[in-house]
Amino acid sequence: MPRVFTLACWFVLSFTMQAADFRFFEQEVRPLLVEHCYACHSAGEKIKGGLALDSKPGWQKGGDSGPALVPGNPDGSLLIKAVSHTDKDLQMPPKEKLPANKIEILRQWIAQGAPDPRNVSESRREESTAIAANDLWSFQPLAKVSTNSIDRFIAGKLSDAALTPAKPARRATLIRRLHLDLTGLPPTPEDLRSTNSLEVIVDQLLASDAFGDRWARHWLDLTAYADTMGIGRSIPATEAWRYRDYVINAFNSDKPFNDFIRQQISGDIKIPSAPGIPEGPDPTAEDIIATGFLAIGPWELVGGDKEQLRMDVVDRQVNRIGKAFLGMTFECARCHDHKFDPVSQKDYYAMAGILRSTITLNGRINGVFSDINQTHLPETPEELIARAERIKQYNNAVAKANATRKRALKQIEELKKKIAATKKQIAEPATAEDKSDLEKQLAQLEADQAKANQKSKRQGELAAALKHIRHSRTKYLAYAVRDTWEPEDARINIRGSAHQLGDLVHRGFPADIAPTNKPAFTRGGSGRIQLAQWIADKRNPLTARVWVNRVWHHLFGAGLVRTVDNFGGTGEKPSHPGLLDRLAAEFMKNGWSTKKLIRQIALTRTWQQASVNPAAIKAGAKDTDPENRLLWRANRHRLEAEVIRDSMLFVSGQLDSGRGGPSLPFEEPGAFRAGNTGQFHDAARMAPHLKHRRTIYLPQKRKGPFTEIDFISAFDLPDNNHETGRRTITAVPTQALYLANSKFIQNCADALAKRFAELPRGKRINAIYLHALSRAPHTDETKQAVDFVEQLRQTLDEQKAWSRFCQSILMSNEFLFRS
Amino acid sequence: MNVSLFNSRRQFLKQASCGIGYTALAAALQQQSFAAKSPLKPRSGHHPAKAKRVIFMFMQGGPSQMESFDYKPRLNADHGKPSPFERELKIEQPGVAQMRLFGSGWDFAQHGQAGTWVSELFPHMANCIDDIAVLNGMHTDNLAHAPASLQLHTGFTNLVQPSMGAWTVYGLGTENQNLPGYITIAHPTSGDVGSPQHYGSAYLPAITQGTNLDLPVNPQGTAASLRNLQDTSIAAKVQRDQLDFVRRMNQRHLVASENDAQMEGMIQSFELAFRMQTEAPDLFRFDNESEATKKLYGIGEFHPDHFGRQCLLARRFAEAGVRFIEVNSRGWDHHGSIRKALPRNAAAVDKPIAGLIKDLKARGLFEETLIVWTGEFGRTPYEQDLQNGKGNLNTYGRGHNPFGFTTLMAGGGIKGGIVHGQTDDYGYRAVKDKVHLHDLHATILHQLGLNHERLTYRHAGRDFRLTDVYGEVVKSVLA
Repeated sequence: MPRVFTLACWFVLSFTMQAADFRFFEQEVRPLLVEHCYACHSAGEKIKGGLALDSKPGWQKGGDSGPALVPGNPDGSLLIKAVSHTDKDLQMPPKEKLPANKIEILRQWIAQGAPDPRNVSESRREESTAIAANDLWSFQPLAKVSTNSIDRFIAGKLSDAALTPAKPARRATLIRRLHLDLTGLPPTPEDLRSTNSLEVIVDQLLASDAFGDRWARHWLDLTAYADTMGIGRSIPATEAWRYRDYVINAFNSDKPFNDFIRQQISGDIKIPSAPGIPEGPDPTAEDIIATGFLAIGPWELVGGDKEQLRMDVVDRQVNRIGKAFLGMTFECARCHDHKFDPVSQKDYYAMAGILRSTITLNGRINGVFSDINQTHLPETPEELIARAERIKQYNNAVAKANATRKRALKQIEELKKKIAATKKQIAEPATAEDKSDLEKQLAQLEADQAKANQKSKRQGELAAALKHIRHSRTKYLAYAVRDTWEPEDARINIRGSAHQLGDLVHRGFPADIAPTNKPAFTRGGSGRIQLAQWIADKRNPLTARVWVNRVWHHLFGAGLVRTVDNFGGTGEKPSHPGLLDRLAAEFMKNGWSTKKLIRQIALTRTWQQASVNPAAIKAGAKDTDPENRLLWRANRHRLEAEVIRDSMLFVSGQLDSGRGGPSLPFEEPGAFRAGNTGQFHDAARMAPHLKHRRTIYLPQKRKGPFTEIDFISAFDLPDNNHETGRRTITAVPTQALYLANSKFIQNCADALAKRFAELPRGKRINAIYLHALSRAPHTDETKQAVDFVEQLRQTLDEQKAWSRFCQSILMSNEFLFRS
Repeated sequence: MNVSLFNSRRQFLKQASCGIGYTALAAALQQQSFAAKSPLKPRSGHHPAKAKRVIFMFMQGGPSQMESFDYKPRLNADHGKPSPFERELKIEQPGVAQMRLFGSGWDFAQHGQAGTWVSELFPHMANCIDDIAVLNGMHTDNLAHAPASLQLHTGFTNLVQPSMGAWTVYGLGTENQNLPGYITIAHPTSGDVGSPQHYGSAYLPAITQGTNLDLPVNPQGTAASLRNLQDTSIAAKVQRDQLDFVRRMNQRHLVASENDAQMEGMIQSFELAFRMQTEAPDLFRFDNESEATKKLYGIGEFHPDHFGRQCLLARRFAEAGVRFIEVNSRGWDHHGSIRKALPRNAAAVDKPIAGLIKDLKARGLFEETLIVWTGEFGRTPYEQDLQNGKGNLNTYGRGHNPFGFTTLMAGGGIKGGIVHGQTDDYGYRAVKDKVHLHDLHATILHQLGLNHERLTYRHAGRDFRLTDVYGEVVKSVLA
């Protein structure tokens, strides 16, 4: 047993030490260590940085930075480096430097060979609490495909719990549920009247553009998407919209999910030729734009420490890939082996090396700023010419609008003078007849002025909008990543510091996930192609499970695994493991088609059941399964922020059908570049043509939304600096204040009231109910509505009273909840 | 007007705590009563608290320590000489190439029984200096405004994390259920100088986030306001009628929905909101404050008016039971013309702060209210000459300095009349009894009865805390 032998030798050596050698230690060194070091580096107190100085094995083993001292070599010892305060990142004790004589004592001791009698290690290292790879359900291959239908799986478990499923929901409820879940908008009365089968309705909704507007939002939540970059400064990210539109199109075209993965991780890389494999085609514009998944994020662009920034970006990318595709929390392993999951620090840096070999940010502009890498998108000469032609057209149109506006302004000036003169005349009229004439003239002049004002305003807006469009068309760039010239492996960053480097780790993948699937690296590439292949592979046990679970979550309000972003040891186990595996297997078999998966789920009895189940409640379901994990009824939940806003605009007839394109304001053209101090201020306005579009097309700032649309932030809009697959839902008074008092909802209420103002009272109430709540009012509800409007009419005019009634409908739980 | 929806305060609290917050998937939700889960419900921390609340004073931009509370005679003596510091490679600022030492433009004198050195720019605070602990050994990690002020508020520079106010409310709840637990006044929110992330809740329950009150600088004496707090276009009675109508609708729908817990929560939050909008506006005004009190805060005087109003509001919120109150003074970023500008900034806060301390003491609130005054960093002892030698002394300023600066603490179990920590002879680097921002955070939480290592929140697979993996309570400043 060599190990025992070594140990025995070591003891023998120790015992040959003379007692006198310890005297210096006992008299000088030990008290010094006790006084200055033990508080943070001893078993009895704390073991900061993993270093214990209360035993010889403690400093021999050392902390996160390695052995604390090299006996006989003071200058080569970290301890001396730390106490001398020569290295900015390593200064001990941190609060106050030791006096010179004490440092000298430590030097002497080390020079003597650091004799230390404290052989017994008193320090305790935390035992690993990580679950073994073999014990983690999500790391196991998919179970053999069962032929059970979704409904059979659900019914089986319900029956085990002596519960029965709810009755099917009413057709109108189902149509509303389908529209909200698939498109994020409520149905129209025509939709409600449709006699089509539910299959046909599902297909129609899946084929509508609104489907992508709704489902792309789910994905964007996982990418920390925003139209600004920088945490501290709001620097406009002018090209980010291309990635947003890419995601919307990907959902609408039902891009196979494995392609979706590959494009987002490695779309920019041309697959190099290899024996037996021909060279891949040149990346298309779409391929390059897709890597916005990695390129766009809350990067701290201001600041001096660029290597640390680089590793912070890498960390977010590892984290984002892990969370979005694999449901893993890899970022925990940045500083140490994962405490709960079978993921080591080495696994982390294997992936970090891939992303460190990828350029996301470009260096320094004006000193401390960085900028996101921008890649020119490929275009043919014809496209280039067409673009130049478009620019010319825009320029001409802007010039025309400006000229018209200038004329209007001139007219306004003239009218102002005339009005002033007329007013003066009126003040001293000769006769009553004259006065009346003059007043008529004045009214005409003032009407002309109002008209001219409007004209000038309209043309001004037009010119600005055109300039905005032109701006976005003069460039053909995307935020995208690219490989570095010389991809290289990364070194472990000790405690996450980019300046304290440990061992080199070969690029690769976590050892315990899909061990039979490890694509080989090619020379010269970062390894992103292989990373994408490894993730988008049927043998990866996480990828399909995580995605079908996300889809389930969005359709049911809770996943089969409710911790949708965490399939690790601290995550939840699936409520129906067999069902999850079956869905995953079938999803892959069906060409990774998200639309097919949604269709499959939406047409089940389980999904179509009612949200009430008196029989189950009577059977004690609220006690035995209070969280409805067995799905004995449909879940109810408050609508997401975007759905609330979009629906209010939709039912009030105001929703703009415009889609796609840039979303930033154009008032500060100077700000359209990182690196100068240009940035958004609160005063920056949204482009007028966007105001009534669906929320996904509105500009998103990282520091909270534009004041004009902060309505949505009250309803748990997730912080776009964090990736999240599951939104929290809260009920806080701010929401009520917005619903009661904000201009936005009042404008919607006004529009809704005006929309049906021509109808007689009963029909009007009927129409409002149908549009907003997808049902006709009950007789007593109609009466209550009439009474309420009557009550309001005592103090308000007709329009205002009806508007208040409409607002009340829009702020009711029935409107705000999906059931 | 005041509409009484509840028979008693107790009943109100009971009802109010019923529906304030829920997370859709909180597992324990169904087993426990809502009251026990309410994130706003007041509760005690890990150990007995010395302070019930915090008034945090953010001096945005980074005040000069050498001209306020860190007396450096050697710097004055060596004025104009080249500085002995090594150039920090990471610092890229214009006009600092020569790094010539730049003395304080103002005299210092010793004040109070402890003989604390205070610059002549702060005469009122000098009078209260025995109530204040001066921390001269502060340091932080970043030298740009945005990350540094983010770190000051959240502990992190590179991640968006909950603010210390959100952490406090998360840990302790708040005493007044009709008001937000965390209020910040006139907080800078845009550009380089500010961000809503300073008072955000990140992944903590949304209700813990700070509410930013508007308080215009002009006209002087204006009351504070909150967006969407009220709808002034209709009478309160009409709105009450409207809310009653909505409540009837909701009640009916609730019964039809098997008493859905989320819906119930929404109904309760509506009632709470209505309470808030009837009570809060009175609190935002100074109608019932005496002239003497307003004068004490410098309200109506040119420089101190705006910050004075903030401090008086802070006292009113403290009385009303708000847990974490933040007041903000902008424009301490004196790269140039510090000799012209600094007196104005000092005058803006000096009297209000002294007034607040006196007022809190008179009302017996000082001992239970922790006051913290700090910038996101300090300033360099060497000059910054933005005009490249074309200007004179009066156009010079100072650069950003994260290596050493001053923070003040008072009340809430803090030992007054002491100086803790020191910088080198020029005020550049903290050298003795250094206190990092993490330590300041740990100390603030400690005084509130919270252990910064135990106040954690599980997010993205890991337990996060305000102090990350750092922070030590600064025991020497505790009474």
